[in-house]
Amino acid sequence: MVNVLHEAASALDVLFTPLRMGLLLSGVLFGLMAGVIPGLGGIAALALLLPFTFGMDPYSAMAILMGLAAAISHGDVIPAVLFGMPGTVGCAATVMDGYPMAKRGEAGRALGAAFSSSLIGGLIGAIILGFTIPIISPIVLFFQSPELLAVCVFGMTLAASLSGNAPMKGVVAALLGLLLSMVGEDSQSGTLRFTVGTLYLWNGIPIVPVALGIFAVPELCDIMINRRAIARDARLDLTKGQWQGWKDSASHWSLVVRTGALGAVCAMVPGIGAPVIDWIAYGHAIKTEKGAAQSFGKGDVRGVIAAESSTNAREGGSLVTTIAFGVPGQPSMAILLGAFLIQGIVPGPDMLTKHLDLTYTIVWSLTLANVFGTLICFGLANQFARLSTLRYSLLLPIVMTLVYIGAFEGQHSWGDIVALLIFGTAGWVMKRAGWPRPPLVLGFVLGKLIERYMFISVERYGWDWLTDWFVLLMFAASILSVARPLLSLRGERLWQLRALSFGRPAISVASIFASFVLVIFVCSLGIEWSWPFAAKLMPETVSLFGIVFAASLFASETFSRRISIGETRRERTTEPPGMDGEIGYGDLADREIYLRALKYFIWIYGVLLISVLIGFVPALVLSALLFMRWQGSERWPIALAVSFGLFAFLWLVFDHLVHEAWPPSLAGNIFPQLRTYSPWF
Amino acid sequence: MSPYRVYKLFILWFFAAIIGVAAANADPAADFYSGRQVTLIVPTGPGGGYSLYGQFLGRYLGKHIPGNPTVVVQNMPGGGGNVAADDLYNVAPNNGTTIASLFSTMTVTQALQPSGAHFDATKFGWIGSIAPMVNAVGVMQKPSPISLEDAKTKPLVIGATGKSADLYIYPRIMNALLGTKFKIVLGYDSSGAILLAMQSGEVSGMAMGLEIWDALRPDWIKRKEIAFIAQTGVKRDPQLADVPTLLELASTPQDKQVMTFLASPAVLGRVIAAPPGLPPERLATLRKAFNETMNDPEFRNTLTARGLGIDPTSGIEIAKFIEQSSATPTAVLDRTKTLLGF
Repeated sequence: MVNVLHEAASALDVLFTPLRMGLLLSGVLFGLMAGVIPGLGGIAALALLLPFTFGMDPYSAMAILMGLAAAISHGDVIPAVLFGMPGTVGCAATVMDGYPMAKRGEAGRALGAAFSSSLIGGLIGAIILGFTIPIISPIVLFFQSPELLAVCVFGMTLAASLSGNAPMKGVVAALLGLLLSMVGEDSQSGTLRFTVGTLYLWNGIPIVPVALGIFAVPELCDIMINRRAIARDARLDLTKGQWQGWKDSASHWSLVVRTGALGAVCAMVPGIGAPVIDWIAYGHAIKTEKGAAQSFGKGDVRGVIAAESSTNAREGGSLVTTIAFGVPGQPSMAILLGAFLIQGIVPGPDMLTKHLDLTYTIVWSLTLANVFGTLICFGLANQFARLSTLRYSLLLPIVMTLVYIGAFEGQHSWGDIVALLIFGTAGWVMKRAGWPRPPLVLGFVLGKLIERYMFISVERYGWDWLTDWFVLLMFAASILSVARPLLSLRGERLWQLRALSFGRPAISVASIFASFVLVIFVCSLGIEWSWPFAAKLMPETVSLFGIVFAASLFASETFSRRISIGETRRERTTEPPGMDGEIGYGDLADREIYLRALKYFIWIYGVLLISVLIGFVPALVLSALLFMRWQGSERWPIALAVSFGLFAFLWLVFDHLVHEAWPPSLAGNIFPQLRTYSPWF
Repeated sequence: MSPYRVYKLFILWFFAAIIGVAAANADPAADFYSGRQVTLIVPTGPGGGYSLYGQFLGRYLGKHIPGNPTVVVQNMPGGGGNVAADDLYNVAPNNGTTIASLFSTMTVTQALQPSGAHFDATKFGWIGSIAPMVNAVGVMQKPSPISLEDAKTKPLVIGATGKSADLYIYPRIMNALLGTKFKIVLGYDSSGAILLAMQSGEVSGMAMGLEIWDALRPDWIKRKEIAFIAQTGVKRDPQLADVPTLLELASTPQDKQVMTFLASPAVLGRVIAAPPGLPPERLATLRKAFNETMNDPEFRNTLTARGLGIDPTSGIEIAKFIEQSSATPTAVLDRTKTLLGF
């Protein structure tokens, strides 16, 4: 132990040279930038930086890389809170409460709470990493496939608390997520499941376009419908608000610590990565915080705190398996692993003996990067927050361009854009029909893991693993976690059953969507029929449950005067179901709402069409220009200036820095000459 | 002088200058590449062996191409390497400004799952291979030492990712032709996850690139906690001089045909290709630059210092090898498919 403390102290000494501090700081700055710009996720940024570390010594290389990795989850909060657009997939849960707060004019407070809780979360992650790394080996090795399966199943039950007061819709959404996670080549039999003949779907649907589609596209559609700046009728409470946010974090310190620890521990489990950890923490907060079930999703600062603390603690946790075993806990860690190998460092037991100083350099870099990141964000947040008062005609095309580019981070293919638009449409309809969206994401991420660990467990251990004490404990906890809210509902439900009256079918968005989902489940069952047993076991089970639940949901949406359990039609119009953001369109007529939404979707699908014709970048810039001029009635000079700015940004960042592989356009196919001039075609 | 005349003189001077520069630099290849950018596609995401080799090749290759273009590395993951191969074959400009590193298992997966491969491997412009990629079947020696003969009598749990990956193909063909009793558990996320499972005792072994064993678990090899019981390829890797190849182990001529076909990924290794239909002189330029890079002491040092192997094969030889490999009789391919359960 003395040795460990000594190494920790000397590692700090090693780090405190002007050069390494400078590198750390530039890593932080770059990471913040990458977090703020959705298209430039952490993986791309790390990959960009990696070649520059070839010539550095290991300490300097770790300083700059860790600076970047830690800062990303500070930067990604900013677009999440201000535009409802998660900067990276890791902070989708921050949108749930951060964005409604921004709409209320409390952007400053939400950002303050996010920065402070993510600072403390990050420190908790670093501390857990620093203290557990010498003793972590047996704990990580305890988690074999059956244990991992049990953890994932428990995580899945959180869908119940993430469904707000629409549990039935939550179940169907979660099942839909599970089904979507089965897309791609099945590892057991090599069957290509639901890939509709494309290579794009071989590795499954990437999470980035799904998260952006489900969460960001609907919010942007609502901006179009409301035709107002995001923070409407509210004075911006910037600096004061930020202090308020810090005070919020301080008064909810136990939540910060709990979710931080939860985030770090979850991240140690390989496979449970960024896309679910924030939801697990968010679900935990709903269960444990007073009154959270009613207020979360409607701009409760505790939601922001829970999500952000866990997100940033994650980095420390996922480093544990990377350092101790050389098994990357999340994609960004795979690049870090590459950096280790380039430096000639082999992760594993050596990191705890021979290279302990390096391990502590990493811990300190993570700690300092968190502090720097927070300070910089705190200083800059006021400038960013002003963006939420920007008029919609300028904001919308800019943010939408970033969403397109961001989705493209998925697999760098047209498929990403198609997925973004499909999930965006579904997301908006779900929001409109009062469906909770987080369970879908939870199912989407955990479904793959549940299937994987279940097959490995059964193949390897037969059914013996079912008697493992940890598995039994987690399964019991899962049952309790689902049963408790149902039991507490029973009283209400009985009362409702009496009041339930069947009537003539009433067609609404909710019932149309329910029938649509039902059709998806029925069709999927038909497709699965011919697959080999191993390939169809999970998806068929999901489809069957999906048909049952979606059918009853459809029936209750269409024929009954009740929308679903625990929710009446009257309630729905006056109070939006939990976990669903805010619907409020003021006093706009339904007809006008749908008309404007239709216009929005024509626009975003139109961009795809034009892109396929003339190339992605030219189409993005052109469509932004046209939108500003004709939809937004901006004057030509402004429209031209903004589009030129967009163009310069795309060209500089994506053509010259990232060397993006743009997808092939029709123009480029007909005139291959074009491609020798520019990669856009 | 009227402004018009100045303008005309300027234009004249400009063209004269261009012609002058062009005359001084009469090398057509240098003409073509100078000021251009060459894109090197890597078939995986960042991180991992393909990406590392790509990064290093990208840094040195440009120096050896006349005109010294900058080489940028572009990651194009997906479809088990098919996305990158597909792009190189069907989309990339075939003027020598785009080249790609391709999966060594490309020819095998193409035969097993033709639905994903929209290319004809014989038509690529083969530039060369940096190093062969031998796959070695490693098994833990705890609690008791295990040899190839032991593996034929008792069931050993082998971890694998998906059915079309080499991690599955080699143990499976050993079961089918050599009588090993491996119990292959599919579904692991990555080779890293299997290493972890080996450490926790969930599985006993895996088939993985020798290089990756060297890079990730040198201590296991040093302390003899792991033993390699078979390797792929047509000849034994110097590091595994006493480990038999699958080809040696095959007993009948028919089995040898199957093993020869399955040895092709080891020969191709870290292979680099250009799109089909490249002008022959441009392909020659790229091949020459590649060969020079492989002999560049700086490049060699950079790789060896990081434990990355370098043992190049020229593009001409690779092209010949691909030609042979694709001439594998359909009967052999069908038999391989049946044996592997496809």
